[in-house]
Formats: sequence, C-alpha cells, structure tokens
Amino acid sequence: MRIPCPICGERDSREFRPKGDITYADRPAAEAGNAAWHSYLHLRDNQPGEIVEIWRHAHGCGAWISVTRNTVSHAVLGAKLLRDRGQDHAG
Amino acid sequence: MRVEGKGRINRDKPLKFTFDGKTYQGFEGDTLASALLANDVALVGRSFKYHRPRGIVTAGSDDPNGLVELSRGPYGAAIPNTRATMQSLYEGLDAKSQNHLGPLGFDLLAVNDLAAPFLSAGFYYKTFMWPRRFWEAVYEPLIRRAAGLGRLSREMEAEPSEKAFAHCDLLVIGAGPAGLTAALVAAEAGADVILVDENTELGGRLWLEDVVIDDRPAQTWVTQIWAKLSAMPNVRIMPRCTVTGAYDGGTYGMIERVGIDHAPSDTIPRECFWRITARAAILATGAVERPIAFADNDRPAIMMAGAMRAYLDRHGVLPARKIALFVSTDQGHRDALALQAAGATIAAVIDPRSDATAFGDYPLYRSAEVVATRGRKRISGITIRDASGKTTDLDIGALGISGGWNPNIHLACHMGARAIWHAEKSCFLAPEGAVPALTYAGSAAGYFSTAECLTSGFAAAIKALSELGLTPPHTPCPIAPPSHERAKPHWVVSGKKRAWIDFANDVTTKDIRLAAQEGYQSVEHMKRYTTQGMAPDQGRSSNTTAIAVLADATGRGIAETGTTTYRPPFVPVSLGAIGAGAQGKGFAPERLTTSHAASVARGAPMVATGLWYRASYFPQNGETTWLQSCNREVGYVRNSVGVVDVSTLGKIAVSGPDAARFLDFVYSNIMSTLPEGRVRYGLMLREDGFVMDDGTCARIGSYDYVITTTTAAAAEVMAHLEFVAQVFCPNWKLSLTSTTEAWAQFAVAGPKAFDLVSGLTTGLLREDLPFMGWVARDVLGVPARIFRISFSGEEGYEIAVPVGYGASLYDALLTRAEAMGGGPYGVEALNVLRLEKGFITHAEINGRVTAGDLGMAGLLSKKKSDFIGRAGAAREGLLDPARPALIGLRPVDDRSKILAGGHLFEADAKPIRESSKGYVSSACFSPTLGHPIALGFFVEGRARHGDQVKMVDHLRGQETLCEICPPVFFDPDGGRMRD
Amino acid sequence: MTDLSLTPPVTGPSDISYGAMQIRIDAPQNITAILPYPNCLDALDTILKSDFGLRFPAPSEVVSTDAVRLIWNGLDHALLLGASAPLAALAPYALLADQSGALARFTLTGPDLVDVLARLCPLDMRPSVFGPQRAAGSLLGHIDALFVTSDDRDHIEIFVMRSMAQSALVELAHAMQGVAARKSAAL
Repeated sequence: MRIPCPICGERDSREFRPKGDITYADRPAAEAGNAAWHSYLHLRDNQPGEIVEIWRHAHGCGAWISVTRNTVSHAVLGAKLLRDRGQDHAG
Repeated sequence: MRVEGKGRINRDKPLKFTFDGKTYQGFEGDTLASALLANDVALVGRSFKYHRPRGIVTAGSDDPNGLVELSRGPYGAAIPNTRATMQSLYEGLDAKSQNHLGPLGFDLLAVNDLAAPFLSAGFYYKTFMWPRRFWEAVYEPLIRRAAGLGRLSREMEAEPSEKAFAHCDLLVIGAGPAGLTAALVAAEAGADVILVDENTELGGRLWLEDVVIDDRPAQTWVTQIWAKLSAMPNVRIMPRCTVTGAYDGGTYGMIERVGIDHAPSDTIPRECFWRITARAAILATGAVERPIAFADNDRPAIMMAGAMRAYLDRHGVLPARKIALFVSTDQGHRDALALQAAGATIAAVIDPRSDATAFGDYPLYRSAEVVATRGRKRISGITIRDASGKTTDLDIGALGISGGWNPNIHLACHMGARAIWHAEKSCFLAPEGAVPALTYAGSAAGYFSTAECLTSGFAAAIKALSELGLTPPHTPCPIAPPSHERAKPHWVVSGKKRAWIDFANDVTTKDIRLAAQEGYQSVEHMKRYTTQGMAPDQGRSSNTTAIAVLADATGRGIAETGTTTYRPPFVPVSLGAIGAGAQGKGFAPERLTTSHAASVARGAPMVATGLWYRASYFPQNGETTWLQSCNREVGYVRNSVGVVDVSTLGKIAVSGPDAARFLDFVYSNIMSTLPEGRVRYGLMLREDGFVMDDGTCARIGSYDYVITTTTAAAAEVMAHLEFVAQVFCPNWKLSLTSTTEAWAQFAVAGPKAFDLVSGLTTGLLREDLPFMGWVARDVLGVPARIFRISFSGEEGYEIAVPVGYGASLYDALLTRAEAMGGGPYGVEALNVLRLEKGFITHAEINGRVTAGDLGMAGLLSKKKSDFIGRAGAAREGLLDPARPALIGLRPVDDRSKILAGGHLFEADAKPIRESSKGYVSSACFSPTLGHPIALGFFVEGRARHGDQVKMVDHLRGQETLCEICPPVFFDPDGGRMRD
Repeated sequence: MTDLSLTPPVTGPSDISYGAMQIRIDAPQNITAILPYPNCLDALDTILKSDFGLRFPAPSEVVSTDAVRLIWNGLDHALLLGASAPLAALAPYALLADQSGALARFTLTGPDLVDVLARLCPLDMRPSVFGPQRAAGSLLGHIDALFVTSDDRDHIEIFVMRSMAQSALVELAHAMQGVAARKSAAL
C-alpha cells in the first residue's frame, strides 16, 4: 500500500503506523457527558467502503494525518494533515 | 539426446553435474531439465500420492513434476522442491530426486499405486475418521511420513539472500513480442521502464517462431530490440525474474534468481525478493500450453509439444528419436515439423479435429485420440483410436501434447477479480481494470498470433503512457504478417483408466467427477476435496482442464463453473528471500548505550529491553549464580553507592510559551506550578482513563521542560504527545522533540552517593540539591545536569551529560564508586531495589490499571477542568472501590516463592478461575529483608493488609500462602531518599 | 579543560569498502535541532537570515552556506549543522536541542549507491523524484534514518540515531557486500 503523505509525498505504507478511526481526532469537550465520551472512545461504525483513518508518518516526517481510503477496493483516496483541521480540542 | 548445431548453449563450456549420485555432462546455457533430457534421463521423480514415475512436462516455471532437492554445500542448506526446468546448470551441480522410499527406479511406496481404488478424492476425510483416538497416534504420523513434497534440511541457512525495492513509471512483465514492443514504445516516450522476464533471455516464443517482423527474421528483431533497450538509460532489464504478486498501490512482488543459478557462495545472494512500485504496468506474461487428459498420460517423456520445441531451440535437445504428437492446435503441427527438421522421426501426429491437415510429411491421424500408453519408467508406446473405433499401436520414445493455450492472467486476478471464460477464444481472460493501472497484452490478453501480440503490446504501451501523462513517441508499431491460429480445446479422452489432470497432486478426471458426484460441485469445494491445484505449481497447467471436467460432470458449462481464487505467489517463493536480512540480529536493530562496551568488558550479560540492551548484572569472582551478584549489587546501593545506566529512559524536551499549559493537559497532575530547578513525578493517562506511563518532569527554564518516560513506553509516549500537540492544540506555542539520544544519564544511589557526586564538581552542597531538585553543573569539566531523584529508595542522583561523554563518565563513576566500596549494578538489582520500595514499572502499568488502583488517585487533579483521560477516568467502572488495588505480598513462611503471573485466591478458596481475586505483577527475593517479596493486585486490596491469601501458579505448579502488606516494604516514610 | 573524553558514535575503522562502494563514518559535528513554535516561522526566518544567511528549509529541502547547513528533518523540524555561534536569539521562536552526539552520520559513496540503498530503504531514489540537495526521512532496514543528497549523485549522507549506528553499519555493510559480490560475478 502507498500513502500520500501531505508533507513527504507518496511513500510505502511501512513508513506509517495506523491509529484508528478519525473519530479519535474529534475530542469531546470535558463536560460533554458520559454518552459523548463513550461514543468517542468506543463506538465505531466499521462499515465497508470509504473510511477516514488516523495514521502517523512514524518513520518519515512524524506528521499525524487523516487518510481516506476504500476498504473494499483498497484504493487510497487522499491524506491531509490533522493539525490543519483548524480547531482546538483541548481544554 | 543432444542435436548437433541446435540450441543457444555454449558447447565450449561443458559442465559436470550429478543427479541421484550419478555424474552427467551438460553445457553452459542448460537448465537441469534440459541437461537431464540431453542425457536421456526421463524419470526425474515420483508422484505425490501414488508414487508413479514422472518426468519433465514443460520447459517453464509451471512444470508440475520436475521438483528436485538441490544441494548447496558447503555454504547453504539443501533446497527441496527446486524446479529443474528453471534451475540453470552450473559446474558441480548436485541434485536428488524426491518423494520415494528406496531408489528412484524402485520406489517402495509405489505400492500406493496398486491401492489407487482406495485413495480417491476425499480419501483422507473418509478413511481416517474412525476410531477417533487413532488420529494422533496412528494416522497423522503415517500420513506425515508418506505425504509432503521434499524434505527440509533443518540446517541453518548460511547462503545469503536479499530483498530490495525498485521504482519505475512502467513495469513490463514478460519480454515476448508484446512485452518487448511495449517496453520499447514506453521507453522512447521517456518513461522509466523496468522490463522483467522469468527466462534467462528476452524474446519468449519469438525464438521459435518462423515469422518475419519488420522485414527481419523474428530472432534478429529480438536481438536488435534487446540491444536498443539495453542502451537506454531509462530502461532496466531484469531477466531471471518472476513477478509473484500484484498488491495495492501499484506494488508488485518479484523473485529474482541470482546466485542460485551458480555454484554456492557465501557472498552472492541466492535470490532477491523485489518490491517494485510502478505507476503503471503491462501484463505480457504469455500463455502456457494446455495438456489433454487421457489414460496413463503421466508417463515420463510425455511432454507438452511446445516444451519439446523449446528444449530443441534453446538447448539443442530432443527427448527421443521417435516422437508422436497428440495435438488439437496448428502450433502442434508446426512443432512436429521443427522436431522433424532436427532429425526426429515423427511417428504420428494425432489430431482430434475432423478438419486437421498435415503441415508436412508425417503420418496424420485425423479425428483420432490417444487412448492408451505403455512403458514403465518412460513411455514406450501408444494406442491410437480413430473416429471409426479402429485402434493402432505405435512404438515411440516420446509423446508431445498440445490442447490449446491458457493465458497467464494470474497477476491480474490477485486483487480479487475473477477470470472470465471467453468462449470464442476458448480460454479464461482477466476482466479489464482488475488491478489499477495494469494493462494486458499479447497471449496473456488472448492474442495468440505474433502479429496480434505486437499490436496489443503497442496499444498497451500507448494506454499506459496516457495514464503516465507522457506523449506517445513516433515509434511505429512493429509489423508481422497476419496469421490465424487455429486451435480447438480437447480436454479429455473418455475411457475407464485413470487420466491425470493435476500431475503434482495426483488428481485424475475420476477424482473430479467423484467430487461432483459427492456434492462438491462448486469449483472451490472441488479444489479442496480433491486437492487439485494445491501443489507447489498451484495447478498452473491443470486448473482450466479441471474446471472443464467439473463443468462437464455438473452440466453447467465452463463459464458458469468459473475459476478458483488466484492468490499470490504466482510461483513458489522461498521464505529465505522474503525474510532476507532478518536472520539472527537482522530481525531487530540493537540500541546500545554508552556504557555497553564497559559492561560487556566486565562480563555483564546484556538483556534486551525493547531494542535496548542493558547490563543484567556484573558477575564477580566466586559468584556462581546471578542471584549472588544481584544481592551484592543491591547491597552497594543500600550500604554504600551503586551506579546504573538509565540512558534508555525516554527523554523529551518540551519548550514554548504554552509548554506548561500543554504539560498540564497531558499529565493527570499539575506541572505548571513546578518552579525552575525542580522535578515532579507525574502520571499520564490514556484518553480512556487508564494509566499510560509514569515519569518525571523537570523545569529547565521559564519555557523549557524535560520529561522522562519509561524505557518501555518511550516511543508510545512521544507519538502520543505529538498527536495531542498536532491534533488537539495545533496553535499552542510549543514544540517538543526526543532528546533520548542526546544525553547519557547515570543514576548514582546510596548513602555515599552525595560524596561521589560532589567529588565530580566543585562547590556542590547538599542543600543546593534537595530531593526532587536539579542543578546545571560542570561534571568533570563537562556541562551536565544533576537531578536528585531516586528509583531505589536511597539518596539518589542522576547525572546527565552530552552523550559523547557517556562512556568516559561511566568509567569515572565506577572507579569512584568502587573506591567507596560500591560499584555498578544491573537491571536485576535495579528491579529488586524498586520492588523493595513498591515503585511501579510496566509490570504494574499493564494497561488495565487506573491511578486509583495504584494508590495514586491524588495525582488526578481536581483543579484542572480538563486533561487527557480526565473524563475517561471519571467513569463509574474505573472508580469502583471493589477494583483490584496494588498490594505488597510476602510468603507467610518467609521462604516460599511468589511468582509473577501467579493468581491470588482467598486462603480457603478453590484455586479456579472463577475465584481468582488478583494476580502477582512482580516478584523477587529481597536481600535487604531476607525473604521473598512481591507486588500484585487484589480486590479491595488496601483494606486487606495483614490478611492471608493463596498464590497459585498453575503453569509452574507453585502454591504459596502469602500475607498482604503495604506495597512499600522498605523505609516506608522515605527518609533515606529524602533527607 | 575537561577530565572526560568524547567518544564518537561509532568506534573502529572510519570507513568500510566493498567493491566500488565505500561508507565513511563522518566525524561528529555540531548539530542543533530547531523546531519552530506554531506561527513563529517568519520571526525565526528573520533571525536565521541575519545570523546565518539562511531561511528555515521547506519540506525535503536542504539550505546551506559555506559555513552551515540547515537540513529539513520532519514536520516543523530542521537540523542546523556546523553552527558554533550562540543560538539564543532563536530561542523565543523555536525549541532548540543540541543533538551533536545524538546522531551518527555516514556518507555512502560510489557508483552503486542506489543499488545498495535499494536493499534497505523503500524510498524512491530516482533523480527525478529525489533530486540534489534534498532530505527525506525513511527507513534503513528497521532503523529510522534521514537521507540527504548533495549536488553529487555519487554520494549520499545518512543520519541515524547514535544508539543504532552500529546496527545501521552492519545493515549497510551487508547490502554493500551483496551488491559488490553480484558485480564481481557480473550477476
């Protein structure tokens, strides 16, 4: 698999480490309540088809990125820097 | 036999080789198969199940029979299942036949052939079911003894292998007419081209074709194109390479034969496994000739007609003087003519087609079939039956077969596509777009004439160039006169005797019919029930015929029956090549500290902790066990002074105006209030509220901090902090980076630690450096940081110097420590010291524990509105008072062992899973206290101090009555390290 | 005057050769990691310009003067090589970390450079993709490494963590040996 790092360009997937679903980038507010936190921590749709995941270019530039890919066709459709999502999720 | 004046072998270079201990001669340019055929060795092995005599069938990587054991002494281990058809001959090559008990010519297991009526499809499933207890004791050993192809040498592999990466714009797989044309066109357009072929030469079938391309004989054309491509800097030609798999993102796996085609060496890699990344690729892998199933069609010297032709053309070899051919293709007739021209007597060409015509002067049996063969160790005769039922017996030395062509489409189907039956062309073809950016050309695309191969290769290149965004060159498409290849599939000759389909796994037409009859009608079920296509050749020559027979048996037709799933690898790939470089220490790099050489010089066994190597203990004269050394080293720290390398702990610099705010966010406790010059212990949680890691945080300057992580979690914590910084607070003004490698850091601990440390620098007073403080000082003239922290419970200092001074400082520290009656200690003593103090490591922080479980609920700040893990840690289940809590354990008898991993039960409970109330996480013998101690977790453990519980280690058979006690065994008020 | 001595990341011979390929173990140099704080790049560039005549490198870029080099080393991360001047002026805008001894530096030289690295590194090293004066972080076997090209296609610089330098050399030597053995046997 090849992943297009937004910083380094297309690289072999062995340079990257996956973290999981993109949900993990959308941290709820501290007081969002148990339901929101439960959903954030544990609930994932896990549907076949197009998904967005969090990866890290661990053996390259170190950037955390979101990768859009299709789990049916295995096509990698794009990647973006997570820091450019333009929101602060920290208290 | 060898034919004078034929073949592209080097007759000036004779090569000696041995097969089954007998010495023969071949020539440079021979394969093992061609050299054996040249020496009239027809019998090369025994079949898998019935142990029938078998010979070479094809001249390519698809050969089902010619598997031999290749000796690679003195450097390498012998290689089983080496394909004789692919193995180049070299001086001294030594091979053995496989799969027989006793000599090849008289195989004792050939008795299986007589038992054939009982060994039909599904035999294993039907026969070895009862009685059930026989399976392990009788059946399995019996089957294992008799089954399996070849045997592993069990020797360590000394001959190297390689793996490598390659990148290109266009990968052209196969260098026949289509591949050569495509490569040339793409290269002239400026594309970076890799052209690969599994043979030793480019050109493919063009070497055998009596055809003119661009007004030149095909062979001249090949030579000219080859030379042209070789001269182009943007073309890489790779012969002896078989692409084995198509993967995501334009990645292809490929195995290259390197040293294996030469005498063994300890430096030349045997094979190289390539991972090629190509923006586009062209599948020009050609087609393999299709056999015909007829009675006893598996005798040695029954070969594919095209293979006979290939051996003649490449190696100047005829399989026999008197040859018959059983063909349903025009190509088979041309092959007959070529064999005849080389001096063979064509006894007959048997063609089942009613409209067949002779291409020359040979006896033609039209509308006829071969219905029987004779000969034990090689074919000696056949029986021909014509349309009227009249039979003719002929004595012959070899029989050539041609039943049509099966395009090599496997790679196109490796990403899940199913092949489609093309009725008009009578073959399976790959659907378009089955692998992104892979285009098919030539026979692999179902174009069987040279003219069509050239035009489809050209068209494929133009298509690939447009995908690459390159302008097609002015190169014209090479032209060959049009021809119409007539061929009619002839799958099976009906009859009662066994007709083989899969030679490698001994599957006959009867087996497939039986499978269908017994309900295994899906092609996938039939495959597994009969094992057809499951041998090393993966049924490359037999799959299509098997499908045709199944289609006939079920009445469904071939298109509806479909193929099984094609999976990589296309040819067998040795694990040695895939795992090249990963033998021994190549499996993982070693991280060495600056004290490594000195520790090894002192005889310390080095223990792997992650990738790092740390000294386990430092044996001294008279000590016979590690425990003796460990106990002595613990004594250094408790009584005088000990020194240990702690450089492996992760060190992360965090700086910036928002650094403090960031640390407050990632630690559960508050770091922003930490004054300069001070160090604070901290816990990091995962977002789900469980503890991720612990460590210290030192404030270096107003905006600058250095935090430490455990050795085990250094990489995880670094990645986590970068995630938090980049994703949750991208606009906070801070940066962080690992400085683990920049510092060498040594802990100096014990009652005499201050004496040692103050002697390294000038004017350092005890009050300059209170517990949990740090100072910047010159240490022996080098700018250093001295931290007053302790992981041993004694007065402790950690000295950090720029890493280049580490080795020198370690020497200086040991010299001084030894002069004070102390010395170095290793991780064994380090572990005992921390256990005596109840300090935790990742044995305790095991991913399932909360701060509360560890007795550190106070480190979950209530003042901060948010931090990583705050919401998760506040969940009901994580606050349950009945959760197992950290406890200390000591044996009631002060003697018996407590073992890490053991479970804890109430003293009177039955030690079964349901009644387990906790577990032991770490254990050791405490030399300071004189008895074993342990840390563990027990339900409501903090309320149980003084109670007796039972430790049971079911695996190691240990049961010990223990007393629960506070987790701090030694100096509970911490006076020794603090004051 | 110090009582301690400096030990280089790798002890032993200063170069290893197989066939036409050579790996040279380069002498340690002053290396400072510079990691600008968010939104501080302009201010940082101003000082880099006045103090060193350089700007912070864009991704994959290497910028240099006769005296110093700034090598891109990841997201918002560059290595300043060869600077002995005080860097305090940069401190308000970036994290500065002395990595002088932390990185081992090798130079691989010879005509089969790409062949040797192809045995270890998944990077596309074709000149059209990885040109002169470029830096790329990737893998050398299992080891994180920074590859830096110059104007000369005949050599490449490789930076690895000090602790893994010995393993990296073993890997490189093994790859060089295989390539040299192939060349000498014309395979």
